Amino acid sequence: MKESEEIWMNDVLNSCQGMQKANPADGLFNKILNGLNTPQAKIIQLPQIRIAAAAAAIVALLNMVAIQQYVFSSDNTTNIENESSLISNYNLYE
Amino acid sequence: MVDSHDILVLIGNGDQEAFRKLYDKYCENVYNTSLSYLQNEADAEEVTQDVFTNIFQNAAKFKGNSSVSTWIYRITINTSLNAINRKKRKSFLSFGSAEKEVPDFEHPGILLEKKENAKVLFKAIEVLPESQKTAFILSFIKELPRQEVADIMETSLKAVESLLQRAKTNLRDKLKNMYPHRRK
Repeated sequence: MKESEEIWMNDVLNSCQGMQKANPADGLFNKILNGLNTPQAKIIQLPQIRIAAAAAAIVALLNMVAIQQYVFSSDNTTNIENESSLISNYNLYE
Repeated sequence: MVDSHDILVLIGNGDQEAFRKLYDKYCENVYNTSLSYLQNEADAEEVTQDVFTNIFQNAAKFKGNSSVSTWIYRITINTSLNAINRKKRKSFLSFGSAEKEVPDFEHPGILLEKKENAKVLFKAIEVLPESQKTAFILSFIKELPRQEVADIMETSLKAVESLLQRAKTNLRDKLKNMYPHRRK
């Protein structure tokens, strides 16, 4: 079995020997010339748009979290300030 | 008789007739090399188009440090490898798109009695690292002399032999799992 496997592998590795060359399509040269004579517009590929959209979504989410944290910490600061002013009014030993 | 280097000089001046001569001389080589990399006729034609566009646009910059043939092979290999990497990125970034089943590649030039084995070989070549793939394609599919392969790859003969050794080892490992009469 091993010998036949070895023979098969050698046959596979050598299967391109004697290969004929393939030919490209007849009109390819004209296609190349047309491409050279046509100004190329920059095309933005769909995957690039998807990546940009995903990045924008992440930035927006981070901004929302930051704003939420800021608002929450602002609320706490206001409460503490109010408390301090209340407490100062209850200073019994003034 | 005008040699390839002189033709490149003419192309550098925008001579389209000279460009046609260069195309007629090298298009089969370029197309067949890129076909071995891309394993798809439409993609190989696109790469061939890119290669000759590149040649036309950069002919004036050719310094003659290598032969024209070697220069063209290098452009072909780089363009082919870039095309493969673009295809891989495109398929990675196609979020949620169903993967199409790609049929095994049948090279149009393979002898009939070797077609099945050649299909297996091309499937195995696909997974080789780039430098091993290049060394193998140039040596065993394009059947170039080892020294020419070394010149194209801008490396030593010894390095090419080492790459070929590793390529064959990797291919044999891959082929063991593809052996049709393998007992599981």
